Amino acid sequence: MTSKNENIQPFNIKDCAILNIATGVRAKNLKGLRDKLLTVHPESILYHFWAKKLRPGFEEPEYNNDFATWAYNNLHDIKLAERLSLINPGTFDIQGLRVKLIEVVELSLEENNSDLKTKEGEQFQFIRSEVVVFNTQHMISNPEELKELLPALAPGSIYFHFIDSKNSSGDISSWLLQFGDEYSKLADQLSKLDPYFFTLTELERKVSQIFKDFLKGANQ
Amino acid sequence: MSDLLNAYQRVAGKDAVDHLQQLSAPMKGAKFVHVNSTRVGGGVAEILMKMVPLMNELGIDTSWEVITGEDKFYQCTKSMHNALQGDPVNITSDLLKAYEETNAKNAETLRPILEDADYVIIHDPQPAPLLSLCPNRKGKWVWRCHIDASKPYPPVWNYLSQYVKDYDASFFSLADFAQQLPHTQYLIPPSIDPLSEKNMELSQAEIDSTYEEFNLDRTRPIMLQVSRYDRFKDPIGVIQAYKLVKQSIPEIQLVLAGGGATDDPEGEEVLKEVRDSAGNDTDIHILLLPPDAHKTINALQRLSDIVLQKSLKEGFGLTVTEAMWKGKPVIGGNTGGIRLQITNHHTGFLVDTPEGAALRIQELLQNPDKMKEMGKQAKEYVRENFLNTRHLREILSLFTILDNQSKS
Repeated sequence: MTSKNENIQPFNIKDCAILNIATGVRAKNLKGLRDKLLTVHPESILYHFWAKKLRPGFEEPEYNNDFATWAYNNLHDIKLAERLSLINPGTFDIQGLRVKLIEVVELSLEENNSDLKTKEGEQFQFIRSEVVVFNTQHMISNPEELKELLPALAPGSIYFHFIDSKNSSGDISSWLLQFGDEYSKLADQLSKLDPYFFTLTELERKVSQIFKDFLKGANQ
Repeated sequence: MSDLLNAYQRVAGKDAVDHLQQLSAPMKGAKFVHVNSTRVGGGVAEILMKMVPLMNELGIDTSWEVITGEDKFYQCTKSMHNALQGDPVNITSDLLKAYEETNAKNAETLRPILEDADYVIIHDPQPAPLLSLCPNRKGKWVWRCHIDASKPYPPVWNYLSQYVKDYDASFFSLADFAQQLPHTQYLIPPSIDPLSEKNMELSQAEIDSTYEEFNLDRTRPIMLQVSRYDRFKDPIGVIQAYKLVKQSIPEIQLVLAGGGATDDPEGEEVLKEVRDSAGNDTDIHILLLPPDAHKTINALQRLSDIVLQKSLKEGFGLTVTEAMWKGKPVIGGNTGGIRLQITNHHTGFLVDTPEGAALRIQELLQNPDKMKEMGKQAKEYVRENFLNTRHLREILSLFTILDNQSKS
């Protein structure tokens, strides 16, 4: 399948890095976490769900947000960690996400009948971040080129294009739609892809597979 | 691309250098000044020694200024350092006067450079008052705190914060260290330079000569701690751990390698305590190295089986990262930045006591495959997180954000 529209601007693949910022908001126990969640800046809540994907590390992979990891590592509450880990930020708006987090934490507070505390130095530190975006040398002219390039992209590029910029100019789905109505199906599949439960490597593989399947079908 | 940037690209990757070039492009020709209080000894000097040339290579007109003072100034700043790490130290008004006067005197010399600079980073408490002494400054000023200030002694922090609060931003190694300040506090861990004498690859001949120089037996296991003779580095705790290991592995050797920083007046006193604790044990090697013994430290880290950094307080232990870069598992104190550097049970171990250290030393010495695997993971972890290309990228990003805020 080739481009039907030669006027479509090439798409510049970006890369990104995050710069962390201390909010000064901390929780040393579960009750403290609940209290801080009531008021902490929304960006900080989102940070603790998503930024983990750009941080190389060896943390327990089954806990895919910072709240769950903290509950497991510092409060030693596996039940709470599992419940927190199940919260998918993609299924809530920010206020709904905040409410859901508080609900799960309050349930644990009720069940434990006592407030779980951490040792010194193991407080939950609320952080937010700024995303710094870089150009890369990669300029693609059509979806086929993107399919070939995907496995070689840096983790920051995968994060930027398939998580961070889904609603901005870095969104690949919007670019694909310029190639004609037949690409709406591909764009739709990408839009429906929920990146939360994948590492960036897994996400790249998923995206690659979607491209391969679509382009194979389109070329037959 | 210059030879230097090519060399970084070979070690850190193309993207790392490319990001630096993109971030530095709008800063080409801009004047960037770093200020600290010592040109040799200690982690800050080591970072600047390599970061300043790299920044110049990227086209940013970067200089490194050092403030100087008399004994009372260093007594004051050492007390301040200890107080920020939590010691309840009351600093006399006489010493605080020396601190203020020394900064005022240094400002007379540095004012033209600092007021003309587009970007200034003031490192640690020693030169913090310089901002208030440069009223006609035109650039962005950022205060960098390298210290574990998670629980500072309040009277000393309150005194210092009067100088820090007016900076455009500050940055700390960990969120735990950040304090209440009226500006944005960024989180940027420090780094090592993979091309420096301290971290470059060495020939086997260079390593062999280090065994001979310090009379170390290459057929027996060696544990090492490299750090200033400072109580917060817990050299006595390391000797205790060594003595515990010695009971089951009598052939173990311990090397304590340290030097003095010119801004640390307590070093000699602690060194004496360490010598007393070691007694007549000929397998304990207490080395007092000159500040430029980078290759010696490099060789010691490479020839050791296990590296320790059993600090009780630590902003960020560069020696931890250095040893990890050489593929060594590190046993570190469960404190401060070391928690960020060592991933417990993956790239080394975090310990709270000499007993804990002794346990892990024995565990590793008895399991060479585990030691090798941990060391391999440690090196890759440093490559991804703690090289100075990442560090500089974050510093340049910080100033880019400040510039953008001014424009909007």
